Amino acid sequence: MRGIWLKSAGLLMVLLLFSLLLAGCWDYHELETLFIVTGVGLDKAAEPEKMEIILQIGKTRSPATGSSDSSNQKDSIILMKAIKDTTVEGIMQLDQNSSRTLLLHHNQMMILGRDIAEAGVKGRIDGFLRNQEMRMEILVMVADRRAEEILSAKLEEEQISSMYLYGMMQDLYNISPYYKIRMLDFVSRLRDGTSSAVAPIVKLDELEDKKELKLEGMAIFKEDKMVGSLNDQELQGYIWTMGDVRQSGVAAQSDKGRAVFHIAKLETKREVGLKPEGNVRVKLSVYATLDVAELRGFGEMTPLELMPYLVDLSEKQISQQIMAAFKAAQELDADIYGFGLDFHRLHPKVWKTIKKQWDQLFRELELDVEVNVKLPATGQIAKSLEMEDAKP
Amino acid sequence: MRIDKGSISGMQFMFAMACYIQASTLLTSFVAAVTTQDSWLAALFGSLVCLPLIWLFRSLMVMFPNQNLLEILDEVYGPVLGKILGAAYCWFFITLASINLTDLGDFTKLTIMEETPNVVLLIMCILVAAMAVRKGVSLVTRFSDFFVTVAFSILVVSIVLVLNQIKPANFLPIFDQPPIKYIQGTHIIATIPYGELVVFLMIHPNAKMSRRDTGRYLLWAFFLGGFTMLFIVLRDVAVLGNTLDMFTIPSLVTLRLVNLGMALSRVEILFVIILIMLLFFKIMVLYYISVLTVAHLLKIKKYRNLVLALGALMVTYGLTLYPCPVRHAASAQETVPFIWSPFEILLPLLTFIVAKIRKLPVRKEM
Repeated sequence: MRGIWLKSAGLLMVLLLFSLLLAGCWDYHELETLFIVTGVGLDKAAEPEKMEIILQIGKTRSPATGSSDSSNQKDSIILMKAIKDTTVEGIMQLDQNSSRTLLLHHNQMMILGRDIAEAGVKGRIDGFLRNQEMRMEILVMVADRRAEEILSAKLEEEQISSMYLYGMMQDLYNISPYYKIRMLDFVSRLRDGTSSAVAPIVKLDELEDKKELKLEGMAIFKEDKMVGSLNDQELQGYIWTMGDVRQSGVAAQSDKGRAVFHIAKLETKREVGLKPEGNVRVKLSVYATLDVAELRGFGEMTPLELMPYLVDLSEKQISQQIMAAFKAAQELDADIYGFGLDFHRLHPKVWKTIKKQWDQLFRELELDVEVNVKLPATGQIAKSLEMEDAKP
Repeated sequence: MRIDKGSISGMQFMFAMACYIQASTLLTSFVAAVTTQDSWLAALFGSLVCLPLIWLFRSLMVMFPNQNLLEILDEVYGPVLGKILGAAYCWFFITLASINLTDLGDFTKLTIMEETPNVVLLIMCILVAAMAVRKGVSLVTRFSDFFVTVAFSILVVSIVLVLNQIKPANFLPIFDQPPIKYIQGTHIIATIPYGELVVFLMIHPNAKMSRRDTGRYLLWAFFLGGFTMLFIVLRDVAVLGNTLDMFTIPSLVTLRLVNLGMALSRVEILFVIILIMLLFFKIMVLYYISVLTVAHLLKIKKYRNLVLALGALMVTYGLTLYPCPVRHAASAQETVPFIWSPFEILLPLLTFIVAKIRKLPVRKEM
């Protein structure tokens, strides 16, 4: 009996000793010792090889001190900047020179300054892919001028600009998944060979009393260099070409009046094929279900005449915007739609023979757009005030 | 001579094998780098090619229901050649265990414990495994059904979570690469997950199952494991597309991409759970079998004394095996399938043929 007691007492001692060993934890991270990075920006530095690495750090604050005091507002972010050859060197330097450890897990986005995007990004983003703290779902955006001004912007709506942009992109994602470019999508396009990567452009508007961040078209990359951009109208055309649109609207103007339609659903189907003469032809069929959202004018038309007219009008508008985007892409020789990839996927054998001349083929590519619009709903009212027979 | 007298049920044996195959599916990156978007085809072909192999293992198990691999070798090739082959297998098992041990270290380092030294992870794993190995086969295989269920559920959940990111077009074009790539991919799949089932020839005498059941259990294990692998590869290709071959662990990246609103994201911990669980199981099985093989070769009745010594050997061997993960991946893609093939395919086949020619086993009781 005594033996058992002795044995268990001995075992207990050993276990207690183990707890001493386990208590020490060498890679602990406490919240008050961390700098949580919310956005990373890259800008071109004065020396050609180097770049400016800008980290935006969201400050951790206790709600008690932060809520009412407005003077605190401007301190909600910290901006850190280093000039180095690579991202990781920059981050390491910043990490050494700060009182806290940098935590990259919650980084929301990578913003490329326009200069660096135009100079080529392939050699600049390796760190983002390799570092296991970085995620492939971070957003990629291009700053209209410099990334720094985007990250340092103090907005009214949201104190941390990258959180604001994240929310904005999430909203746009609900309209169409093609607005939101994650690191994965960006890299996938870069690796593809023939497709051109795109990334939304964000622009800082400095108004008199406040600053605003806006989405301003989409940057187009050729290889890994930004070569141009789509403006807002063209961007809409691009999004419609890609299909899978759930919200947003179409505005169309004719000599009879102006009509705005709400998109309930817009799907596309595309067929890529080789014509006998040797050039590529893409047949794009757009199937859209729209609602009438607002009308102005059209006074002399009856509702019965109006509906077919509106269908026609919206079809023309959609097709025109799609063509405008396509022309813009074609001028830049940038296959932003992935037509080459489509061709590769559907005709892998033929692809091998034409892959080399894809640039040439894309320049001469024929796009046939066929838009089918259904206009099932007119909103709460069937007639508008301006219509002839609405008057008593 | 039966060293471990413990016995397990046929079901347990089946789940152990299924779990073993599932554990190997974590290594799909090896094949992803070779066949990219067609990796699922490689997985499918690899599985189909392995059906005859499964049948071969079954035949050996049925022909020699009471003898493990070493005893079979002894009986078929005679004591001298049998011992030499046995020693070769012994090297094979220990190497396999060490490689998987390094995998566990590397992957854990890559996923959650970045700053923990590798050796600590390895020793922790080996110590826990040693406890089970000392208790024998019944404890080694006891949790396999639980592990299989958890791994399968996590797989299903993860597929549901990434449904919104699946792009079916990622699978196209099919058969776009030179045929040799498919052969290489199939070969990798055939040797790395399935061929390794040869280790179960060491413990089948402990499983209580009838002649007919042997084939059934093997086939079920094959289907459970095979489906897991196929679906993991399909999921990763559908989500990652042409970036698949870029990543060290594609499945981890896939799970990291999960994003259902703000609430359901960052679920890579699910992957880490199955990673540690399954690799631990695989290491435990290989560890147990290595110990058993050494004990057999040296004719040691009480194999328990060997356990810790062999564990220490495996840790040091594992740590010095590859200088870096890149070399490891390269060898898994290029050399390992060729070195493994003799042990996993050629020797069992030869043994089967020789046994048939020599009309073995001689029925002693008759």
